[in-house]
Amino acid sequence: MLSVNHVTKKYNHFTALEDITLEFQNGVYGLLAPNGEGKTTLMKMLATLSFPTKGEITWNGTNITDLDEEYRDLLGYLPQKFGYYRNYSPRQFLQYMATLKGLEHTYANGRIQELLEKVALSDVSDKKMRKFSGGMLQRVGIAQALLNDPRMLILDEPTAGLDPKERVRFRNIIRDLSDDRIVILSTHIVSDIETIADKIIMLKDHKVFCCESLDQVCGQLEGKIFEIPIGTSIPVKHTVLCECQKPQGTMVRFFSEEKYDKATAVAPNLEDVFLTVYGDER
Amino acid sequence: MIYCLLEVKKLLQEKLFLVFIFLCLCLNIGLCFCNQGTRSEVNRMAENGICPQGEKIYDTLDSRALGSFYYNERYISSSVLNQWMKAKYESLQQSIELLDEQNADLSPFAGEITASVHQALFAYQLKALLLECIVFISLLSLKTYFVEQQMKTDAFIYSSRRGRKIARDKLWASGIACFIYCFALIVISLTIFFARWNFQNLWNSNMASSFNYVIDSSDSIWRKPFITWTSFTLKEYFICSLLLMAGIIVAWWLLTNMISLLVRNSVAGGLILVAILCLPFFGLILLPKLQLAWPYYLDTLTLSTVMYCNQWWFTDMGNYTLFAYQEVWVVIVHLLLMMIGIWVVLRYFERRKELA
Repeated sequence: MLSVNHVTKKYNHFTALEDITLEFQNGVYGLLAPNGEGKTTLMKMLATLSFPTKGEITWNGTNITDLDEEYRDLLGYLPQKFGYYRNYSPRQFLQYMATLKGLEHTYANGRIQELLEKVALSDVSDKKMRKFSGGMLQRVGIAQALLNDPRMLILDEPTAGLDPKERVRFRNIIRDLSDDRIVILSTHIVSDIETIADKIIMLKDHKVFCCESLDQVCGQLEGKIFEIPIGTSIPVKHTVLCECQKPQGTMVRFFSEEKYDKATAVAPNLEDVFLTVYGDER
Repeated sequence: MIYCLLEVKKLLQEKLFLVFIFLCLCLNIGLCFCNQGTRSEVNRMAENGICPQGEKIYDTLDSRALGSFYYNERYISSSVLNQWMKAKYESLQQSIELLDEQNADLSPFAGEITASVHQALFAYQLKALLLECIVFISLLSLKTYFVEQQMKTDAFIYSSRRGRKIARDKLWASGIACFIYCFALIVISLTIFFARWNFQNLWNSNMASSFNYVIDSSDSIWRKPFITWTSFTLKEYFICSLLLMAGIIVAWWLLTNMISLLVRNSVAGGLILVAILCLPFFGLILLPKLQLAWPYYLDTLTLSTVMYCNQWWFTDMGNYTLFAYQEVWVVIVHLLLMMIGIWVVLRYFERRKELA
């Protein structure tokens, strides 16, 4: 079990994260928050790129700093922003990363081939990465995170730059992996975690806002999300969430604590929760 | 070990380093073609077996009279420093007596062109090689550590199993790569030099020959004998110079790696190294004019000053040293300090709060 115990992270006078306490067991955790709430800071601390100012992060009761290599052996990390060695091919890069991860040569070559096929890069495995698109580079990044068959996968915005087909492929990979490992992924694309996350972690004001299942998170807004044809006046106090196209025309989706008979109550989704919780910050 | 070899491979694949080494080689080959007149004379003397006879100078030479230029109150404003300088020149008298006993002054060396030959090898060729290696090591060390930041691969590297310990592998990798490149540069350059300059009759000459001298321009320009602390043949002096050069290169390698680990960007690291290398040179010029004796003599304890005076090593070195073999002790102390320093900095790096 991975535990984050009362972790605070400060940069001089700025508090990036305050008193974060979380526990992670096998399954997929979706980390949801707008920019600047501390998602990447938390991911970096879990990946040992940064150390907490206060508190500690433990793996099975032992501080991850003390575990050192033993902990990172279990880790697969995909950062939010990353680069590559321009003159390397994906195969060469993965071979280099496999060595850094301590994988034996023969095993690594087999694993690299398997992963290149999984992320649909086997056709370009020996081409220089400087010719790759953003989506292709992202897939190389995902492959390197999976190289050592990690016990914990920490993915920071993993679907950035991927087209819808690639995002579906990615979700399927994660779904297959999640039974016997911890997967923590942060994203702005709500649909990515809506279908695969076992738990949703939301950060607000640099603190944990909630850490619950999708049903529990959406259940908070049950009976409070409505739709009404665009142009219709809404006399009750409300927050407009979005507009959406329906067969009957363009509808306005809104949040209201009060019931309004002329509006249709709809089942809340994760995007509704995101827009409602962070709506005043937009 | 495998991590280190991976890093060495990355460094050896860097084309810019090959270009730099090639340009240095071109410069060094150019230096071989300087002093055509002197070179022709040396080669002629080697072919004809000409051995000019030196003259006795050490039997009447008084080191105190020689040193009085350096330890008068006009020149050094501190009585303590004056005492040390005086003691240095008093101890030099023993060396003069030894050289006199061995008739070092009578050694033919290269006759009237000895000083030019000395300049060609030590002041030009070896000094150029030393500075080229220093600059190259600086570039290579900065590249070793900052390549990950530049390529934005640092998050991958430091979150892998090897993690921050990769800094140790990078340290050794930069050392191995530096050794390969610098060794190749020195060997090729000197091979070409000695192919052009025929030193076959000169290797057993005594460096303290009466034909050899030093031009000291620290205050006014004047000429004095090349008095070594002990008797050196050219071969022995050359080997000792190469060993001292190796010590400087190793100390500088450790220093550049320390700086690269401590700073957060390559430009800052480069500027700091330029300052460490160049500021002592300005100190050597400015501090005596400002009559700041202690800062000046502290300045002489830097690697830069030792490099600047490479053609005077193992001699009294005038105003650039306060005691015998100061240049050797400076290099040894720097080596020890840098070894301790790099160990401390590596530990700090592995515990640093923020990386990528």
